[in-house]
Amino acid sequence: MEYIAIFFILTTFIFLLTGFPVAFVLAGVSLIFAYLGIIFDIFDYSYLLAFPNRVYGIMINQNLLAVPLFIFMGSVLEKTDIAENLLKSMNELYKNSSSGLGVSVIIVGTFMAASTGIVGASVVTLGLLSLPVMLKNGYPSSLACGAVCASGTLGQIIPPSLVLILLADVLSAAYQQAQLNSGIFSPETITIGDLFAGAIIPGLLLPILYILYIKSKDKEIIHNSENIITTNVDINIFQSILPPIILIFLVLGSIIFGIATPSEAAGVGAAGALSIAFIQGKLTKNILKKTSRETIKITSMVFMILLGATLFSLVFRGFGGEVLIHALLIEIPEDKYISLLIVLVMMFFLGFILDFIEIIFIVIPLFGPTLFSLGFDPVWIGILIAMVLQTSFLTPPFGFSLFYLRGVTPKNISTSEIYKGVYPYIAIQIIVIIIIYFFPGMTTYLPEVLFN
Amino acid sequence: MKKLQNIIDNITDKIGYFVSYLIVVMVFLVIVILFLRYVLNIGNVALQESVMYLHAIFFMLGIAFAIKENSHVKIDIFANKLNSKQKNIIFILGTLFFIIPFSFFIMYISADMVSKSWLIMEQSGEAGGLNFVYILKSIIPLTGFLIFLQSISELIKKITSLLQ
Repeated sequence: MEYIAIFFILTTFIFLLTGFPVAFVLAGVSLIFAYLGIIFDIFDYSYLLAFPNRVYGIMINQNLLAVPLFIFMGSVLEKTDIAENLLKSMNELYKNSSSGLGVSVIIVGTFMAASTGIVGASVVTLGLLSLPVMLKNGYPSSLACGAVCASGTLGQIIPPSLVLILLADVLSAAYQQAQLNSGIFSPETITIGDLFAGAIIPGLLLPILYILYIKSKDKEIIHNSENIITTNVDINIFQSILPPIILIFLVLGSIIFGIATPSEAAGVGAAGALSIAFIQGKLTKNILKKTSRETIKITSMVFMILLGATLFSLVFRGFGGEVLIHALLIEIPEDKYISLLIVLVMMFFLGFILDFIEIIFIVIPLFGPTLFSLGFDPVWIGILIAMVLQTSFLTPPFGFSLFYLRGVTPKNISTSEIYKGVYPYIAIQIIVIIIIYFFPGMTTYLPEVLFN
Repeated sequence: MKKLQNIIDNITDKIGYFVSYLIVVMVFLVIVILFLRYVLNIGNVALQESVMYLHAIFFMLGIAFAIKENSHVKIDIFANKLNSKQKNIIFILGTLFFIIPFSFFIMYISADMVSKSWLIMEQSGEAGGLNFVYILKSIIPLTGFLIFLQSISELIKKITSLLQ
């Protein structure tokens, strides 16, 4: 039986590489295996019967409501150039210091990460806007690419990020499952707020370390103030810098201080983004149309993956896959930290071919309950996972962010230069992961102080 | 065939466009809910559930639209090396063996749950909630049907381009 589960995973994996949409590969391969299993009498039909109720459960899930609202907020900020103006204004502020430009890219990247939370979008926007400026200001191309790539990828970890919302939902289900399995019938739960609070210290530490790194490279930048491109557009710094910052604090504050649920805070954020666009006179009917359509496309894509992954994990269970995972995480490793390491390393490599959504929806429901039964803190695990995925997205040759960046860099910059540029940031990421690993308090302190 | 494809695309577009604006309504309702709670001290379950209903309609009915708009994420590291004919063949096979069976499965497997819900005119579990659970559940088979429709249109598109 377990051999079929392994064969099932491998088959799915091979079909994923054909380039057919992930969500439907997950659903289709699962169905084929399930029905073959029913024919050969090795699969229990009742696993499939659970599917409609799971779908209904996803439809009425209050936490997942935050997903379209945050996507909408990010889309409005992006399509109305609010993010773009933020970057331009920061460049104005820093135009007289050589590493200042890089610093402003990282700061803006951090804010864009927090506000849009969509890695692809922030890497592309940052790249289009700031790469040409940095290159003309004497930045070595690898340094410029590294800064864009790393700060654009911060969207994974800095709250309110989509990764953390989805992660919280899946982790809390796995955490409750683990407690039920060990006979605790009023299980504790973890919330989106917990995970957001846990991500704040690592989320601040990363950009600070990035900035220190850029500062240390000051001498390599051939500063020539005559080359500086002054946009000359009269950009009101307060008008373009303050609103997005207020917006982020509004959203995060209302979640962390318990004024609104994450979904409601996402709604507030979306309303705030619309208001900024309205005040700046950019809220046209066309923008509303574009952003709504963009939102429905991304949202339905995310949820279809969730549906496919739900079917996948039901079928995997039906073939006795849990026995397999139990063996991999409990019987083989002698130490629970090795089990954790196995899961993290696996996610790191999966991050090369799968997007974070797939990884979260597929891997955590499978491994989470077993992992939590070993007694790890769920917030700590959640942040470690988010950090590992983020590092994976930066790592050559398969990191997603590198592909996005490659798409917007001038042809004369070689791919190896982009790689060279991100290595220092990968090192910083790994250092932070190690720090979090040895000092779990970095992630668990804030949630405890804020919520208990 | 071309005509059938146009009709289907048209239906999917219309539904997609209409449903996409629900996100704006959701934002508005969330603000109303917060206003009622903090300014007027009124909690409104029906209003909260209506946001939930809109969300479910939004993402479920958007799935077929996302197929049409080619927005479903794929892993194209290796597929990028294929020519467009090979890509078309993969797409046709995938649609036949993965998407269409899934669309039938979701209609078939949810039929029992949905019909039971209609029989008892299932009501909200919460006092003061919306009593249209049977309609909400009916979205599941409807989603399957829309996915099926759109995959027919996609098949026609890919086969015509393959034959050219």
